[in-house]
Parts: sequence; C-alpha cells; structure tokens
Amino acid sequence: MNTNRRTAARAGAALAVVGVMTALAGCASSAPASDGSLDMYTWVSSESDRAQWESFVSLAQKEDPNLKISIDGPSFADYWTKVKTRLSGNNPPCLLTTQAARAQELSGLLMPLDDLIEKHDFDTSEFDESMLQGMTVDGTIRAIPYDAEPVVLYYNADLFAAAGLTPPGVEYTREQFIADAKALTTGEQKGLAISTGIFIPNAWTLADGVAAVDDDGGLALTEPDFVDQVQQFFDLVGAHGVAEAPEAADGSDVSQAAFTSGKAAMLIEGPWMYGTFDEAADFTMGISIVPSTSGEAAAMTAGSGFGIAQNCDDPDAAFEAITHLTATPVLEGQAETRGIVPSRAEAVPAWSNGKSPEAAEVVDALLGNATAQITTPTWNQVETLFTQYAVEGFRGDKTAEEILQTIANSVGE
Amino acid sequence: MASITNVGAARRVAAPTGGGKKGQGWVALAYLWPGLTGFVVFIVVPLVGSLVISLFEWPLFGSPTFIGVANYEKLFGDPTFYTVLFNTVVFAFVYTALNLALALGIALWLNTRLRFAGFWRVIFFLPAITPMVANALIWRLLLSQDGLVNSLLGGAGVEGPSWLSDSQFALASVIAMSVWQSFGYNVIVLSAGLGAIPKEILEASRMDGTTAWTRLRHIILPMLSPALFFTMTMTMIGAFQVFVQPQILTQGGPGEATNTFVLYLYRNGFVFDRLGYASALAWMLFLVVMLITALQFAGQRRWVNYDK
Repeated sequence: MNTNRRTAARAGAALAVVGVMTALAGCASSAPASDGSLDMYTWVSSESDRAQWESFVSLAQKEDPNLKISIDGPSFADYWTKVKTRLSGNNPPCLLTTQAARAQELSGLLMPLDDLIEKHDFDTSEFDESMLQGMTVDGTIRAIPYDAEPVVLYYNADLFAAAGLTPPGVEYTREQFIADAKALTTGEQKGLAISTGIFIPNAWTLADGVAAVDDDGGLALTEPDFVDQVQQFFDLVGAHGVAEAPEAADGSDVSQAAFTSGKAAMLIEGPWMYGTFDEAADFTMGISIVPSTSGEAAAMTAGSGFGIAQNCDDPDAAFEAITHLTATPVLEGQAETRGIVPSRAEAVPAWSNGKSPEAAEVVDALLGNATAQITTPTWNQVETLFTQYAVEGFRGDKTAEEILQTIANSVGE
Repeated sequence: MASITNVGAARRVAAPTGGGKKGQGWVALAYLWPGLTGFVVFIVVPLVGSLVISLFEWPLFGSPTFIGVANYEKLFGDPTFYTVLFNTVVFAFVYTALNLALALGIALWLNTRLRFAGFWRVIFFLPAITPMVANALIWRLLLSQDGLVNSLLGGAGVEGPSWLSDSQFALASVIAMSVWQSFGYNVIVLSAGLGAIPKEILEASRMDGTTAWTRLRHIILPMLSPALFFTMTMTMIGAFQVFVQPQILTQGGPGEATNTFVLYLYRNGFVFDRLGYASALAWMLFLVVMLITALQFAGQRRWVNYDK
C-alpha cells in the first residue's frame, strides 16, 4: 500500500517536472539563423519610429553597402525596462540606443567605447560637446550621439503682435519673459503651458547654469541654487498666475495641445517638435531661448545615440556600424526628413532648411552654450516622484524646498 | 516481494473496474494533472521565486546579490511603505463599504416588481466589463480642472475643486471611480442571492403583518448573508490590489495622496529596478491580505447564516 502510494507520488512528481520542463522549453527562444547582420534593440513605438530606424540604416548603407542591421524593440516607455531583460536573455543584440539622460541608468549595459574610438580613428571632436558629455559615464563614452537638441521656447507670434509685444529672439531675460507672459494671460488664455515631469524644470534651471547633479555625479536637488530655480518655476503658476497647474497624470500632449490650439502663448519643448507644432498651429510660430536671468542663451541639450551592449560578441563590427549610422550624410538626411537637430556641427544647417532664419539663429546660439541633461542611475525615481509632488508645488501647497527634500530623502542619495 | 505481488494484483483489479482503492492514485493524478501543472507553474513556482528574490538585491540586468532580510528591514524603515499601506487600507475599507451599500441598494431595487429589471441589470454591469484603463481615462477627463464635473458645478454657481490635484479630494475621486467601475458585478451576485430567497417565507411574513423594514432586517439580510460575505471578501481582496485607477487618474499624486501598495510595488520592480525590494513588498501585501481575509472568515460566524 505504502509502496504504491510512494510510486504514485514519484510518478506525480515526475509528471510535474516533465510538465514544468515542457512549459519552460516553450518559453525559451531559439537562435535565429546568422546571416551576418547586426541586431539593434531600440524603441519602436510606432510605424514612424520604425521608419526612422530603417531610414538610418538605408542612409548608412550608402556609406557601406554590406551593412545589415535588423531592428527590434518595444515602445519607448517599455524600452528602458525591457532592454535590461533582453540583454539577460538568449541572443542579446549588439547595438542599443540610449538617451543621454538615461546613459547613467543603462551604464551597466553599455560597453565603454573609448578603446574602439581610438582603434577606429573615430573623430569625436566633430560631435556636440555637451552630448558627448551626456553620454559619458565614469569617464568613458558609452554611446555616439546622433542628435543634440537644445530645449527651446516656442511662442505664438500672432498673440505677441496682438498684445503689442516684441517677440523674443536669441536673448530673453526672465524678467521680460514674466512681464510678457502676464500681458498674454487674459481670461481663458495663459502666457505659458506647463507639463508634468522634471525635464522642463531642469531645462529652466540649466538656462541659468544650475544642474540637478553635482560634479561628482551625485544628486544636487537640495542645493539652494537648484531649490531657488525650481521655486521660480513653480511660481510661474502659483505667484504669477501665467500658467495652469498641470495635473499629475497629464502627459506632455496636454500642454502641447494648449499651445498649438492658441490657449497658451508659449511652451518650452525640444526642437524635435518644430515640424509637428508648425503643422498643427494655424498661427505664425517662432522659437526663442529658454529665458535666463541674464537673458543670454544657455541650453539644456537632450538627445540620443548608438551604443554597444556589454556582452556583444563582435564590438568591432558594431562600432563600424555606428560610424556609418552617425556619418554626416546620414545625419543630414535625418535632419531633413525627420527634423532632428544633428549631433555633428557640420550637419546642423540641414535642420535649418525650410525654417525661419531666426529659428536657425536661436538653435545655433543655444548649441554654442549647451549642457546635456546629466542624471543619476536613480533618476527614474526622481522623475516619478517629481511628477507626483510637483502638482502641490505649482498649487502652492508645498514649497520647492519641501518637495525636493522629500524626493532626496526617498531616493536616499 | 510480497508487496510487489500485491501491487501487481491491485493494478490488475483496479484497471478494469476503476473502483479499487489502490488504483485510485493514478486516476486521481490523471484528473489532477492539468490543473496541478498550472497551479505549480503559475502559482507555486512564482510564489517561491518571489520569496527567494526578496532576499536579494536583484536588478533586471546584472548579478543579484544575496542580502538576507535587508529588504524587509529597509521596508520597515521606509516612510512611503507606511503611507501606501495606510492609503490602501483606507481605499479598501471605504471602497468595499460603498460598493456593497450601493450594490445592495440597487439589487433590492431591481428585486422589486420593476419593469425592465434585466435591462437595468445590464446597464449597471456594463462598467464592470469595460476595460478599466478606458474608464479611468474618461474619468480623468471628467474630473480635470476644467472637465465636465466642474463645468456642471460652475453652471450651478459652485466653483469645483481640483478633484485630482488637491490631496483632500484625490483619494475620494479614485474611490468614486472605482466604485462606479465595479459595483455592477456585486449587483449581479446579490440579485442572484435575493432571487434564491423562497417567496413563501416573504409571503408568510407579509401575512403576519410585517413592515418592509422588518422583512429586510430579519429575513432578507440574514438569508442574503452568504452572498454578502462572498461579495465582501472578494471586493476587499480586489481592493488591496488597486493599481490601474491611481496610475491613470493621478500617478499616485498629489504627493503620495493616492499612491497605493501595488502601484508602489510595481514602480519599485519595473521603474526603479529593485526587484528584490518589490518582492519583499509583494510578500507584505500577501500577508496583509491573508490576515484581513482570515479576520473576515473568523468574523463570519457572528453574522453569516447558512440555514435554509
């Protein structure tokens, strides 16, 4: 009787193990046939994203007809999580993309490129200095940037004209900006549209040269200068009343729609939105610098680049591919068709084609004095908490000091 | 040797009839196999896996480091843990109470000799089968600063608050949306419970001259108590897992006003890259839900009546 039970139990256990093994075998992916192509893992949120990456590859193939790159990846929002699990799985890809602002977070995944740069005689001096700085982690470059996008101030030129105001140019003081915004705030219309998150406030602080991260790479959220800058930004809503307080769950589409529909006269955003805004707006649109206390142009640059996975089998081939993907004609083509501001100075004029001379001047002035948005490995937490808490800052329920202190304590740096 | 012979004999006997005691293990296993596999693969393995992960500092990429119970120690020193636990408990109790009160009221109303009762039942059930993300997005538009709710209040001369940005109203807004989303399910369950109450008992009590309130208090509610207990337990367990509503409506803000346990757990695991800490949080949630459910089962003896 006992033996029988034991046999049954053993058989049951064996069946369970076989079942688990079968299920796990079903989960494991098999290796694709090798055809000499490189795999690139990147964000592919839409057909438009896929078209952009394919356009990169097809332009690069003009440099090297033998180049083969297959593109795969999840949406932009999911990319930052899935890239980590993708590299832990079978057949990890060799080529990755990253934003400069995420380079710290992905530093464990990205191979230092300095030796490859030297070996391939790759001239980095032709690239935007701030973006290279943004892609540098622990003193080594982790990705070669393909764009260098200085955050700008978009304005509705028609509303400025109607209010009898002079539109801003390559200089814009905070004092003048607040005076203009107040004049443009009437009834339902606001002077500025604001979105949630720390990206735009960080562009505001960097316009005055104040960074969120100190020279040692630690968070400097509670430094008096940074606190003061963020409080100034909150005050645009609470004290000056020139903007609506954003709601925590509002995406940037809400503030963008407020601007393009004419409900807000100004908006701070990246230059990659120029084409989209110009198409959506039925008014004359202009761009200026993010206002600074002195009025001089100083930009926060955002941008992305190509890197190589730590566990890539053939880094030389991957780097060779990156040199083609970031060649001047490729970046010029991207600037013309996709509206990116290229990371190579000599390709920047391609962005200006079809835009007003003032827009080109503003971008040139900003790139002349730019700092990348440098972050920390815990920046995701900072971003999440700032989105949660900033609502209270804009409403005046809490001060920037209280909020930034809370965030710093939670992040624990 | 004897036992081997016995086993062989048992097999010979059991196989043709299927009724022998010694062969029942195989038959039972054959029946249990599909369900058991699912239970082991999808419940037991992840459960044990998360317990193991909770003892590590475990990033999504890279090598995990064994840290013993440090994640649990950190958890008890983390002020946000207490905040999200408090928010979740408040949400669970208020939401469950409102949900059951509303569902019971509607179920009683539908149980009167109402025309088109089936139609109304479908209407109330519709939100429960609509994707919650879609519902939450619509509610976000309704409750936004210049949304429909404040426009209507404005029309009546009342200046509406910032439902989702004011910490006094944000959690209440999330609860309101959640109750609207899910009370229809409980309406169906409680309606079925009401339908099962024998008409003869109610008629007899009517002939004895009872009032509607007396019938509700002394006949309907006691006889409905098993259904009420079921809905209460399931609603409470679901409430502790609230995630989508704060994620879509408020992102957990303003401040931590609507940050809930599962939202905090999810962010730790998949946004902040701390799978170990997220697993420790998951086990704390598991224990809290187990405790609350055990208390409910312990308390049911006092008020749930299974007599017919």
